[in-house]
Amino acid sequence: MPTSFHIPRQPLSRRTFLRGAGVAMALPFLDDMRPVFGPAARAAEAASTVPRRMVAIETNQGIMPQFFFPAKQGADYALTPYLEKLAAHRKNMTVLSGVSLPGVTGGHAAERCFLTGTPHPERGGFRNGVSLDQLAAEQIGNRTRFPSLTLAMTNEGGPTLSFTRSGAPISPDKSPRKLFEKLFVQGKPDEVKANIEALRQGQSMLDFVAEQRNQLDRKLSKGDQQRMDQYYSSVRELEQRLKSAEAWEYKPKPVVKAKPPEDNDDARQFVVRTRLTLDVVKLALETDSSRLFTLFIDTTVIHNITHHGNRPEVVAELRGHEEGQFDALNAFLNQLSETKEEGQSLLDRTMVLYGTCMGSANSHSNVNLPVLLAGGGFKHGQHLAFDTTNNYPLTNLYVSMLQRLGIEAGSFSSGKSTLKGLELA
Amino acid sequence: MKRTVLFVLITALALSANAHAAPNAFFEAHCTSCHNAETRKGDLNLSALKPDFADAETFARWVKIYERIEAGEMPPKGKKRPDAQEIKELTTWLGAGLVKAELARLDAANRTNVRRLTRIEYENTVRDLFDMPGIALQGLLPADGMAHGFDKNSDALDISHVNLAKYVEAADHTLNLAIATRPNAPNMQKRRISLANNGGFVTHIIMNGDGVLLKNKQPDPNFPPAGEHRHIDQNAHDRLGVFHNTSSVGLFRHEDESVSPYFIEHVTIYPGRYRVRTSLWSFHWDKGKVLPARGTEAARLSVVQLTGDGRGGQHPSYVLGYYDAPSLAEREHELVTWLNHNEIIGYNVASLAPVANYARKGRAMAFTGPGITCDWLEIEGPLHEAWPPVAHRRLFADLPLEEFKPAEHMGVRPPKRLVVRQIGAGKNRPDPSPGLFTIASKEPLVDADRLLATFLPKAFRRPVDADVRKLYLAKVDERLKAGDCFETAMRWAYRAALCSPDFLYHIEPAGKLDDYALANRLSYFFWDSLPDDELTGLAAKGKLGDAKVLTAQVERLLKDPKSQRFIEDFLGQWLKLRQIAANDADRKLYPEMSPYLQDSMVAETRAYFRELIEKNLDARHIVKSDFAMLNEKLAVHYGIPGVSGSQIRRVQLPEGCPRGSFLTQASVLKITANGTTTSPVPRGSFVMARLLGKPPEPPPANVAAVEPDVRGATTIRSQLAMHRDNAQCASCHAKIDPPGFALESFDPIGGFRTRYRSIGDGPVAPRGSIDPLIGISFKLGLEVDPSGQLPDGSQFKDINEFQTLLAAHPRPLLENLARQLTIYASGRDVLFSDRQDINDLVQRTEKQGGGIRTLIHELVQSKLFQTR
Repeated sequence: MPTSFHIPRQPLSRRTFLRGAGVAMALPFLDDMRPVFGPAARAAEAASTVPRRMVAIETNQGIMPQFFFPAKQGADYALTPYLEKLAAHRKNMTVLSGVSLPGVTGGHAAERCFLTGTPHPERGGFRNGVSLDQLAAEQIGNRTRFPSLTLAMTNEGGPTLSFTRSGAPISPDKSPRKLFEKLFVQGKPDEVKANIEALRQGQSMLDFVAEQRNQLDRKLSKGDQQRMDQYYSSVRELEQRLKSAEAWEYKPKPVVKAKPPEDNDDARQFVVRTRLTLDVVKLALETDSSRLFTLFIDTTVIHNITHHGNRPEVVAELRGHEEGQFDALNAFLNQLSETKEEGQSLLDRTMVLYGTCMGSANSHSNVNLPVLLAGGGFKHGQHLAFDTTNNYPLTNLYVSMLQRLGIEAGSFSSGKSTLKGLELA
Repeated sequence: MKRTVLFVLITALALSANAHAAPNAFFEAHCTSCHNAETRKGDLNLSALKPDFADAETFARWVKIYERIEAGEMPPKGKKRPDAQEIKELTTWLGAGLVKAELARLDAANRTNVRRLTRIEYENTVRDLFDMPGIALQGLLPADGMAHGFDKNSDALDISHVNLAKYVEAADHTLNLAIATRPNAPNMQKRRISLANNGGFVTHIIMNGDGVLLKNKQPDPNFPPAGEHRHIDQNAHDRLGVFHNTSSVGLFRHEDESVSPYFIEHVTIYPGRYRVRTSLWSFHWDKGKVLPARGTEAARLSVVQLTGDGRGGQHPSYVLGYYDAPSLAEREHELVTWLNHNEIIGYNVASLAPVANYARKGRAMAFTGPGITCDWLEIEGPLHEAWPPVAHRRLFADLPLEEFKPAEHMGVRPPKRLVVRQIGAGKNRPDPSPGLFTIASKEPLVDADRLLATFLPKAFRRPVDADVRKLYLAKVDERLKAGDCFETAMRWAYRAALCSPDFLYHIEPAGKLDDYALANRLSYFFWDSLPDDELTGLAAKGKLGDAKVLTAQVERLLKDPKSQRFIEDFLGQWLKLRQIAANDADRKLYPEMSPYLQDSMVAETRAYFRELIEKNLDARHIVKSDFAMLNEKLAVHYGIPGVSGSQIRRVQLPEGCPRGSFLTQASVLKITANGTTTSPVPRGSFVMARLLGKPPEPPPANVAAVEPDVRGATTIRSQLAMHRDNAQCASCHAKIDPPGFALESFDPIGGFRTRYRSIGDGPVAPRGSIDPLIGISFKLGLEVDPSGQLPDGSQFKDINEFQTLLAAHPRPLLENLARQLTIYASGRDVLFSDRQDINDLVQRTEKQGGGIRTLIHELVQSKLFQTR
């Protein structure tokens, strides 16, 4: 008798694909069939909806709830010490309370689920799911040179907020200086050439497949032929996307006046480093280099004081750090609201999500998450208070955000509807 | 007299192409007193419903009317019954009209619309085509939809540029793995490794007392268990070589206590088959002493994909299996598995309760409880029977691999090579680079033509016209002229083939399937994959039309281990096994739930279906059985004594035990609950829809759902009673609720109960079979009432009586299974006009004893399977 029971490979297995195992063709994720350049493109662009963007930021060691959550719900809540820092943007942000990610538990383990909402990261057999930005990038990422940018401010290996469909983490850009170079410094000619060649071969392959339609049609009934339209239009659509990716390769990178930032490797100075990173993000937004950003802010260096045990002097020290972060966020929001695009502020077109998976670091709790959403074109200016004992799914906010990006989505992860009370402006 | 008139009317109607008048006499006599313009009972007004079967919505309403009358549900109880002849006349008229209208609407030749491979089919097809049984592609592809309960229907298989981009990526990944780039196989390495390694996490937790080092079944004298003081300075221990002294590693801490042990010293470099061996035993730990264990424990081996920098990369994993660890007696286990790049072997003390000692005063020296020891794990590989491997030969046959010297190939671009980085703490090392090797061809176009002539029909699963092959060949020629080397040019063509509709779609001729299409139907039915050489060979000879040959092939396909894919894929959808993890059990109410139990639940259901097929048992076994497929974990969960060890085996059940059948398997009971509570509604609805083939109508939009309550003051049953007092609800709930009432005897994780568990007040709950190391905080709630009454009036007092009632009428069970298998195997819905064929199929099966394997054979022989 066998002494084990063997499980043949599970159909559920979502083992990671070897990304970076050198897929010969650099596939852009998306495209919307619009021509990217030329007069036709400009006309199409003008006629189309405004560009929608997203910057999602998580600070991993929590935000002290007593200095964040307002007491009163609705529009006329009193600003709390942290929200005071963002007073200038009060009308252009929504503060949430009583929200969390259903089933996302495990204290620190939860930090990698901020944008995926995949439950139980603390368990040994955990597999993550696709993150909000990557799902969006599949649909709208082709409109910019970089479908999405995954950033982290950390000295550790690779904490990230972005995960592929198979749940594999996407390595973040960690250095503001290198990010600046990636965005604004022209690549080496042979690299560009290789990319272009790969994209062309991709197009040529798709073209070849599409050209064989006659051969296949001979084998198919009329009804089948019609049903195959979906395949052939997908081929054409992907071809368009490759074309636009190729066009990006030819197009010189945007030139900005700003100087490349100097990296700061001192983990203790995370507020300074956050500012450095967000400064580059602002440049990227301004030049429309990408529309989807995630930023993981690793403040593990202050982990010990987040377990403040309510000792007043420790709470005060931690509060100083956290206020510094809100100052940095405020500076970022200021820059976005001052930058204009087609008469609108960049902030009105950019959703800035700021929050944490740690409701209270002191108790490692993953409920009642401090989260706010600024800008992006919503009817803001309120504190949406949900049930603090029976939390409302934060993932519903992500459904709202996907729809704001122009993506038809009725659900995302555990989110099954849009966020109650948050309307488009 | 009246009847004669009606009969004439019916005959006239049945013959008339445009029947605009229904046999009004029947309706007036039996129906319109309720279903009229004023009362509109059930929102049905027969005076306004024209027999216009061409309209899809009207058609659906008439089908419903047909079904209700035929089943004797209408006219309802208490009203005058029409006599049998009247009913027959009406259903004959209506049935004929409906069939005729449906056939007119359908594309006569194609009921199965052209459809692409599901992602499961895609992965398996690539795996078998290239003999790379572990290449992971499914997770990359967007999830498929579902239509008529299965993903194999063309309505569920849309395609977009996102799918296509992923297909391109998957094709590249496949070719990267398939094409050999070295003249000789990578060196086979064999390494015996410990669970505790320098710098590893297991080492860290041992230092905190969550495990111990053992030698000769005693604590290792060189590394005493962590006690009052934990071990400090891991680095110093590392340097002393403590963790490399061949000690065995006994662990107490389960993965549910936030730990993911793995064997970090093997990190796969070369994808391929590896032989994995390990030695396990269990013990009882008593504050420093190693004593005999309570019984045989089970450890789980899994595969873990390292990501990022390889630290803390416990990202996606799948389970290899559960392996017995007998008390104080080493048992060696061996398996061969495919490992991908950067995959490692993970470990869990699966059968132990989640406990941790790191926060315990006195740590391991204060702990009493079970532990599982892993002496070592050995990994040997990659195992290559031949070089280049099958995958490569599928693409390049026997062409030699030679060094590419640029000087000899002026103007030719060398093939691209990937730099693969090994991450993590692997002690296995890559072989030295052999240099740049590639496929050499003296006559590139002749070779290309020959290779394509073999590859394309294999990949497209049918003969490929020469003109199609020539198109591919022309592209190879073009790429060669553009400066690609032979390998790169061929790769271009292979990539195109793998992204073409010929590969991605099931291409079937209209009407009756030809032999190749039949071979494909068979292999995708039983293997979720392409036909093998034997099937293709029979198709080429035109032998599959022979019923005897077909029967022999079905037997062969079912015997092949690949048929496990059918078991998994079919049950994953028919019984919704894919949703086993959709709802977590509430940890306060059901603390005994564990990943081991969950995996065992799924294994039970699969093994049971396999047993039904192998032994050709009849459909009554869907609801009632005198045996069960169990391992120790399940047996303890079910309260059945005398089963030891992790392996699933057939166990004869004691008299009166309701277990065994699908109906009472923990998997089904868990899937139909929400983790916290049960409700007779979803469970009853599952039984109706999935087992009896009578899916209930969805609830009207304006009715509030029942709010579950676990405070212990009320039962779901009493809440539902209020619901059912509402006449609007009652008619459907009289059908839906009874199976659910019977299943109230089972909690959300499938445990048997006579009283509910409550988190409110109540008497202390007995521990039952729950592990003594698991804390219990739930209380005893109200008593369960599993009694009920079926719509036909027959009463049952508990689950056993309910099972007996269902098993007394095997016909609906068999017919439903026939329908589910038909949808799964043919990729189309079963329509109204298929009733006769389904009926014939069921009758033929019944005549031969009603066995499920017989049903499968009869289905394959039927028109339902053999036409589109």
